[in-house]
Amino acid sequence: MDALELLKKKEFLGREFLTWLWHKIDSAGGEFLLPGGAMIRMWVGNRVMLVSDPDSVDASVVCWSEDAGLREARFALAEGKKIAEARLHYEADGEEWAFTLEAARLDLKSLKTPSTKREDGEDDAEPLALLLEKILLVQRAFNTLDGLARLFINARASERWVADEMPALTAWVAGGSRARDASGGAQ
Amino acid sequence: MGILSSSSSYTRFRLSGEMPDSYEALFRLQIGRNAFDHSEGASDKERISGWVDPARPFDDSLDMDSVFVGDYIVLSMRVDKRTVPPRLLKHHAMQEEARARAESGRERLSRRERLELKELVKSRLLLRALPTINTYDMVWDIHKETIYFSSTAEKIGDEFSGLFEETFGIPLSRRYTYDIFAEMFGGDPSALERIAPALLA
Repeated sequence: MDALELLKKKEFLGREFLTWLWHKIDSAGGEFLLPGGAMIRMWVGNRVMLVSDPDSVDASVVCWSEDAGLREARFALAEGKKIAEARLHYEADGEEWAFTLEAARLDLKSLKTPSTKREDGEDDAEPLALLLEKILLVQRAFNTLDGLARLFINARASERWVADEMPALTAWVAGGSRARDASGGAQ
Repeated sequence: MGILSSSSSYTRFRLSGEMPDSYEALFRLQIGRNAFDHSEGASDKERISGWVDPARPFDDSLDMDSVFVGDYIVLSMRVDKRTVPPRLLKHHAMQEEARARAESGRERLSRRERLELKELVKSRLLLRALPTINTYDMVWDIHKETIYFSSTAEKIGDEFSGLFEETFGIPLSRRYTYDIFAEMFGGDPSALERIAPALLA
């Protein structure tokens, strides 16, 4: 198997990562203690994209807005669709970040970092200092993503995945059909 | 959209080769050689790309002191694209063919002559076309050997990789989800390859 085939074969790990993240957000109040000691609080934003066939976005379901939209997304998940992309927010040290995470590549799409000094109106800030500040903010966002990814892959590859994580995750996924039913069913 | 925007998208690349010793002098030379060509001679091309200052993409010179920023190399890849509407090209090409036939007294031109005329007409029209301009920022963390690039589009990433390797002589590899997980997994990396998809629903 060549490198590209292997990458394609392992894309499911990104989808499972997104599903696991959402499950943890729902079940643990969105709090994550990252390797290194940083604590963040995360929540799902206003857009989740799920696909029937990961190789074709034509068979996709895109759910917008909180509440009703996310109940539809949970139902789609229970029906066997896979999360391809999700809008995520998190708070760290009192500041809010947001990005869209895509399962296939763990790129940070539409990343919104906390504002820099210039954005806060400090016009006399040095351009170079602002650039460095922005670079550090982007790196911090990736460090947070890497921390979450590390939590997931350590759990995924451990023995507790089968004993603990998988049963909780499948029960949560199955609960999506009940959540939709409780809201009054399909639109 | 770039690093100074309030919202931007990023993909990561890793170096797939070695950094040269005493790289700064060499890189300054190479960046200059691959800077965006603002000259008139470049403006009849359909697509041109090169390095510019992220904060001043329309300046026709690149200030190297703004490129080397602490532990980082910061550049923007500017891509200008010009197009000629096919119907306009056909119309002007037919006019040129008619003029050439009249001047030569021949009823027909050869296929080669028609193609050459068409290319000439296209070049003239491209010179008059305003370009679509896009810039994509790159931040290269020298110590971590990681490059943050402000586009997640596959083709733009490929174009960037090509320009990067042309400039710095070091190939890049895009970091996919599997690569990131594989790097993180300590102990027995082969265990990652044995992980099968979980049946969640």
